[in-house]
Amino acid sequence: MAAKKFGLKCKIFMGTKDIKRQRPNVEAMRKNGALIIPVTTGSQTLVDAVSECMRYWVSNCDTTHMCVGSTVGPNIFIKICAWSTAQISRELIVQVKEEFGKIPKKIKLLNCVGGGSSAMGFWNEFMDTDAEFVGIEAGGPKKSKLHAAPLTNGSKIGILHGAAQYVIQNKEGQIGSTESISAGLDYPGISPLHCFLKDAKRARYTSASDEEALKAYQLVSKLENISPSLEPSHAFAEAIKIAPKLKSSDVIIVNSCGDSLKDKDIIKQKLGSYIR
Amino acid sequence: MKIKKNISLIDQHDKNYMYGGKFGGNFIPETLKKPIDDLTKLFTKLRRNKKFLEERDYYFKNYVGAPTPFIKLENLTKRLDGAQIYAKVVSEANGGAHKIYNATVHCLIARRAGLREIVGDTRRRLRR
Repeated sequence: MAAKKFGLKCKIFMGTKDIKRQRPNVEAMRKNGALIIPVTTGSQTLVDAVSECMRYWVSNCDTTHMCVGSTVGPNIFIKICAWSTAQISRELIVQVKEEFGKIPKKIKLLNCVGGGSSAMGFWNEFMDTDAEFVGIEAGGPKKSKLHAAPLTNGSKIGILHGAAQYVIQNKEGQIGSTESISAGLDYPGISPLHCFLKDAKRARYTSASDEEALKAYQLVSKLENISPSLEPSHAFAEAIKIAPKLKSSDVIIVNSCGDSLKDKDIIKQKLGSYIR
Repeated sequence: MKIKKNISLIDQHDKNYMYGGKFGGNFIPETLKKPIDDLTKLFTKLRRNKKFLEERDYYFKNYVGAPTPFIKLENLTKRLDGAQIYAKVVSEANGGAHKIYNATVHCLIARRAGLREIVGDTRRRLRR
């Protein structure tokens, strides 16, 4: 979409599993002139799409610019992405001061994390304040052993897409499989910036299951004028969990970073109906 | 491991681009070394370039639709009867998600680099 606006040719690598489950997105990208290249290797999700995209760039880097879609990859891509999404907190810090007169003492910023780009953007301007950061990873289906939560579940450090990070891996150190209802969080690694924030104890990380995310989507869509996609629904699930234990002087802000429309098919299939 | 104050988090790496001495870096094939070096140099210049920042702000405002709303979730707050709950409705950005910020900046960089094609990975970018 952005490529069309700026008159650039656009190729998008996408796992075949994601092509199926994010159909509305695929149609929209095609309409905007993007050529979708299906990726059939490995798990056929995001992790393999990034790998294929990098392989393509290796052989076409003279004419092509690569855009990594999150705060992952070689350092420069992490930098560009976090620098770009920082717009979110540049706006938010002004809006918070307008609403409360200052930054409230007890304020929690909740954000889902897959690769971690929205959370980095949501937290950046609050880094030197007392705001508490909570990152919510994808815990996967309740009964499954698979998940996409390397920070919550204590995964070891490994190298994925050109960077060292906590990453889900098997006994042999190969990148492990993940499972999540949310395509955007279904990624075995996590931005090195989040690994840094975790080990420096600046942010806290936890996870929400598929079921909890679906329930949160349902409750928020029913009660409010917004309808979060399954990614931010993970963050809303944590808000729903912790809010009743807190006082009215506590403020929770959730980054509702995606709209449920793109998840319409999967929500219908899981819950029987879709509301927005 | 400690986060330094007054320095942007993205710049808190050592000479090997490692954060906290442990995370990140550039573990890349030899063939990518030059394009990544070139891009690093270009971006380092652009992020200090006033014209480029104006361009970014222009497209964030007029194309992405900044600022996105900040709202109180009154009903959810009442229902849970504890903390006050707010949302930053980033999904109101053009395309329906936060992915547009990074995509827009990458297009602006590609244009500056004189490149005509852009490749990306996705599951949820560039919608609508």
